[in-house]
Amino acid sequence: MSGLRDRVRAELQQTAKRSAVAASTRGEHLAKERAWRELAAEGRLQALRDQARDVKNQALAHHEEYLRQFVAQVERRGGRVHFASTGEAAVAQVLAIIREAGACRIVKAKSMVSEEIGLTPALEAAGLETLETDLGEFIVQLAGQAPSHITGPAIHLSAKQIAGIFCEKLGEEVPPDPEALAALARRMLRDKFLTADVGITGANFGVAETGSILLVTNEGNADLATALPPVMIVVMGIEKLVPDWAALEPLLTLLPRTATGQRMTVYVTAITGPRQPGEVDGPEELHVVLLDNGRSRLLGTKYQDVLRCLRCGACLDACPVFRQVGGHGYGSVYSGPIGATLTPLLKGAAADELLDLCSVCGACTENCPVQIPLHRLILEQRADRAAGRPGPADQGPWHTAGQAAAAGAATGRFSPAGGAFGAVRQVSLAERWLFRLWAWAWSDPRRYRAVARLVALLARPFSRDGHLTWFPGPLAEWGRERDFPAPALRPFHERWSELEQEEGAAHEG
Amino acid sequence: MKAEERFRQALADLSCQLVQAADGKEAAAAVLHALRQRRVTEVVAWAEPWLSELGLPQAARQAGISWYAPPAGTDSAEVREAAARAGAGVTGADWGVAETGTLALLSGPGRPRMTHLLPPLHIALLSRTRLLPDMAALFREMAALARLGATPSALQLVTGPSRSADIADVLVRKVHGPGEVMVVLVG
Repeated sequence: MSGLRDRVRAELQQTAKRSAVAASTRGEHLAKERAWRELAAEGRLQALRDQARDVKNQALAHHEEYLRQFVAQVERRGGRVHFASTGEAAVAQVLAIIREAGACRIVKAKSMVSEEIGLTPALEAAGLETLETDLGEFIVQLAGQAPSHITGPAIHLSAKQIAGIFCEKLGEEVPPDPEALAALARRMLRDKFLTADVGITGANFGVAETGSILLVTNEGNADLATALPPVMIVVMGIEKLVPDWAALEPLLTLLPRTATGQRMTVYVTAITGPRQPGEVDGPEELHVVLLDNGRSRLLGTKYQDVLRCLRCGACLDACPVFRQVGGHGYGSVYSGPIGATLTPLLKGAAADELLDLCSVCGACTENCPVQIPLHRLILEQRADRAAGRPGPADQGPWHTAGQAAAAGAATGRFSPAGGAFGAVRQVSLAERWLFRLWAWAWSDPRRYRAVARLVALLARPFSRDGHLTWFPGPLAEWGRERDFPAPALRPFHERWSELEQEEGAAHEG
Repeated sequence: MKAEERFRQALADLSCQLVQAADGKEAAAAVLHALRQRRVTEVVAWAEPWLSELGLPQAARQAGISWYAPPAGTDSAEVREAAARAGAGVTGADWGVAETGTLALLSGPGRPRMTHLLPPLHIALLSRTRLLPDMAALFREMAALARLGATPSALQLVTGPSRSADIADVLVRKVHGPGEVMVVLVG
């Protein structure tokens, strides 16, 4: 994950891309605000957010139990469950299922977890025709790019650019008009749906009570991908489980409203097992690949809250950093605040520079439907990094690996895979001493005042019109783009106590 | 606000047409009218007895519209071909959700999922007695089915026509599913 600085610099220079991302994120954020206001006006917003948080917490607290129940229900309905402890294992599993089915044409519904494990490129490399069917994903797949937003993969592209991509890759001249472009994609993909051998999806929720897989989309592509091909493969993160149908109410009330401002997404589909006798569609064969990939290591840690995430993208839209650099600036599958929080937790020190893409303003936390304290989790990880404490992903073998294996599957289907990402980065001695000194000076009022006065005196020669325009040494780069107000010679607290004295005198007089 | 009024408002917000029908006869007339208006020549429909009892298949055929309602166990490829060609898909709806304008469809024999997915127009007949106030009520119904061990292989919730804003934030309809959803509220 090297080159964060270069990547961000490069992204900041792409003016058109930046304004597209800014416009889209602003639009999505405002749509979310309107939908949340509607819930607030009905007096339901906070209660729903609390319920949503609580049902996900409940699912995580009793994870083993729900996992066991879910697996048993899927198998009872005739589905097959596979466990994958790593992304590579999941990819291998999916490939094995496809090979066994003798399949060669695959349609995919959009899924973040399949991006996480690099599924589509791996299937393509194995010579399998694999088509993304979500409109945005289809576009970025054609363009050979990575999706730039969790819910809007192609928000960084203009209609004109997309028309160019379609012309180049599909050999079709289309006007740069969203209607015409979508119609072309519909026509191209319709035939693929009708002839595909395998449909691959993610899962928004898994219901333990019945072993149901819930898919939430607007286009209908997940419905077609689960209705038409004879084989269906679900790749699902193990944190997606909820106890029962009742638990879905707060989650499905909040997810569409938060993601796009809709009261409900156009399609919500719950698949429970393969097709039943007498039915003419739905998969004949249903496989569920349960992916751990670092998740179970977070259970029971101070970072467990991150596993509540619904992948709604609201934190991306609210984040001042994301709005500037866009998803590609992060260089990771999950971008924005959730990406900065989750990626280092899953991948360890190799990804911990993402923690720096945060101004700790807290907008992400405020906008999170399930109330993940995102900015606090970033701060916690920064503290771990500074102290040289390894994060969950760098702590050797997976301590809960046995949990899932115990849940109805053969032992050892989850194999240990820890320690792959090496040592935690150490903070320099000088930096540590500097912060220690700072803490010492700032923790006592007298010392604080003395230092403030000293700094004000020292800064005086460098201030112009009440602003500092030049900074020494390591601060020079930081100060180049900023005008910092010069410290006042008579600081506010001094003036405040004077004012208080005057006020007191006035009252007495 | 009454559930029915809320349902009407929610469907209007989704640009879905809602037709009220006092009885089955009126409902059949409304469906036929919609098909004729759009010059639909081929229909794929659920093979539910109550749909035939409305006299829809006969009436459609008299109007020169082919009505294909594949019974349980029909060859899958045949249904697929017909549904891909059809100008409209006619289904029932097991529930309607007033708060969101959602239709809940349970899969089963004689109820192909592609009926409401492949054609450009989806017409759903919903009994007034099956209108629920909100999602919480719907999930209570699903929990009841779960307790009976009667969860269908697919529950499909449909809220308006297929859409996407993936290109330049412009809302486009009829992306993969139907571009138009029409609800006939019966009773």
